[in-house]
Amino acid sequence: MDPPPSPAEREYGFLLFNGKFMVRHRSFKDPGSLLTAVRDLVPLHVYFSTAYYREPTAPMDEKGWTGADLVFDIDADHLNTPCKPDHDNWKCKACGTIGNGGAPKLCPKCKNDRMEEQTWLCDRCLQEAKEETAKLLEMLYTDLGIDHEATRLFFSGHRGYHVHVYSKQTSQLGEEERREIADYLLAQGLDPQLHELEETSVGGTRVAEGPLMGQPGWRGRIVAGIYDLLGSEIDQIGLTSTQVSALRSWDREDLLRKPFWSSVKGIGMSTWKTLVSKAVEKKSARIDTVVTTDIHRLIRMPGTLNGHTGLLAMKVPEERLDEFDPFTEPLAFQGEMKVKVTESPGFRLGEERFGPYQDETVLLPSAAAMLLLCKRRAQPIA
Amino acid sequence: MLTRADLAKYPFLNEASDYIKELGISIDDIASPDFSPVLERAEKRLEEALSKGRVSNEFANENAEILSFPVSNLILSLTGEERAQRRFALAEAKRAYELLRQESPEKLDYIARTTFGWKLNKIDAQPGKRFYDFAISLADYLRNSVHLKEPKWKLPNRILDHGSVYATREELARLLEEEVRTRIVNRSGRLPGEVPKLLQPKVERTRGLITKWLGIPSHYELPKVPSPEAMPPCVRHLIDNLAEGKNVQHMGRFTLASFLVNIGAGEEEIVKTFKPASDFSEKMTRYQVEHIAGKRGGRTKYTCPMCTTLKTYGVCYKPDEICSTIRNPLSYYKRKAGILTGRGPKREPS
Repeated sequence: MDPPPSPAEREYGFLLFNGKFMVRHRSFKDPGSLLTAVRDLVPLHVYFSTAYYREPTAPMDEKGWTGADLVFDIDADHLNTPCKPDHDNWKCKACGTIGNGGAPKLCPKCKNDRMEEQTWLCDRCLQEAKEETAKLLEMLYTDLGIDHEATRLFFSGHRGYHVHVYSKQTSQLGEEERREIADYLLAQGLDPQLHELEETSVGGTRVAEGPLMGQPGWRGRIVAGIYDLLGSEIDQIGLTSTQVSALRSWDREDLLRKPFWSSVKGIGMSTWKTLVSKAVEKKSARIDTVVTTDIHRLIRMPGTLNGHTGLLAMKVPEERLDEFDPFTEPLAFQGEMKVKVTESPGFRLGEERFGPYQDETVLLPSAAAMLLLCKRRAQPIA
Repeated sequence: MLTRADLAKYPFLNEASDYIKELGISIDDIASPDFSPVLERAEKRLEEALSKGRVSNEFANENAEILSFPVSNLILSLTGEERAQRRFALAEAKRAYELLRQESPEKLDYIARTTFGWKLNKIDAQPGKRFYDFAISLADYLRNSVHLKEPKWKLPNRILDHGSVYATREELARLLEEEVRTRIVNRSGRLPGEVPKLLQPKVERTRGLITKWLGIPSHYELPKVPSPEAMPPCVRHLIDNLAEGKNVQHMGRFTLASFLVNIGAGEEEIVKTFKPASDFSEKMTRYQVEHIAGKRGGRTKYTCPMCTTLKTYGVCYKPDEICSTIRNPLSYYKRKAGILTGRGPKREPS
């Protein structure tokens, strides 16, 4: 296990194999006694609180909150990957309507919001999660000024990554303050005009003006985002073909010089605004805001197995994020196991590809068998 | 760095408290006739704050100005009226803002650093059209800006550079106003062991002023009988949706139940509101309502979610004029109920 700093000031929670309820409000003097408890309980999931308390075992409102780590969760659940219809599906708990892909917020038929979801983890989803994580880290360091030393990056053992910041500078932030940080990373409520994107009149001609490359924070990032868009999916963001060809024929390297906002013929303020909003979307980091704003959150203990997959939730040295393979490094089980698979998409573990399976009994490496068992796609065979 | 005139302008500063200590004055000295200007000014501060929500900057006597501030605070604390303390804090903070915005960057930097412990740097940056004098540490910025509702204070609309938020002189003064307000609120309510008898009539007089300008306390609190006309648009929309048998999502249900619990609606009444729901289960609803009311589980009585949260979850519905002045549906209810009964806090006395 990879316990957090100040382990004795935190609350711990365990989800057991048989129980529907969380065993929580537990505390441990040191990592050793925590490990003993884990060995005794053999839980399905192990969590610790991001919050520090004077009395971690007291009822919630008597714990005495003294601070909390700043945490970020990037999970494929919150990403719109094109592969989702191939491996995820949902069922409305009220009317039984089913569909492929990520679950909608409301059932399209009965408008109920309670859904049963079956998800899968794939290379594509985890690659996108990785890219979001890289954007998040970049903003944490250059914009928020978070110290590298205080930051830890973890693979969640399922469909994403967690970033923990253990720092005195951020531990006292309240919920509303953390919401502002979450909004910043998502660029939620960003108004380009407040970043000085506006039309002014110079000698009787209307001229567009706005932020410039290299300016700090969202200003420079907006321009960098437009630069990226011009080099890639500029034709896929809802502009007319005339606008697209005007932008394509213009030298995007002009973005690196100043001023450029008025230099493309036929591109007016409203088009720039569209470009800015797409640039912002591209550059924002799609975190789960609920995790960041909750100052009493229980979060997965790194170095434990994720009960949804049997994969290890593990520390990823930041410089290795790019090369980190979530389908190789977190494998924890050795040997082979025979299981009866009901249904499963194809997947890769290590160098080997498996499936797809449909109602068949197979002998698999234990890690693959465990993944299917944990995802409830298979039953063990004695 | 600071002169006595500065302490008169900003009597909440640490230096002002130190100055009073150095003068060797204690609360018992209030009885002395030399102190009548102090008492007079203290009462004037209170009257202005309660009646107009502002405290004037015109004063003749610097010492009286410095000394009267803690005396005002003490009198208010003795009334035990929190709403008056909040109003006084706001009025004093506004006064400070008017003065702070005229100060040099050096003085603003000094005040932010010494009295409020901010981490900030004086900078000289013009990344676009505007000129910024300060880079404020993120935590100090957020602690104060979250109270401010204009979009320009939202973090995504700021320049955030390596943990510092750029601010103009004017903006720094505005953020300091928030800090001053919080400081005064936190300070009030602290009482000395012995209170001189002389102050008692002043306390009574102030109670009278509070009633005159802010109304009778019980009327300011939530109305005893839940008043449907005073409910905000989002809550009424939730009730309508339920009544029409439409599905209301979890966040909507929680908002409605916690709202009703907090305005003092009875458990039966709340359960009844949920009855038309297509998936209504009396047992489940009762359990949830009791939980929210703090009668079960963690024993925490839940409060209604903030408007920002409701916007995020799409529960916010057709916000009206009152909505633009509040941050929580319960405040809407308080305010509207006050307007409806004509007994609410008087904002602008005629």
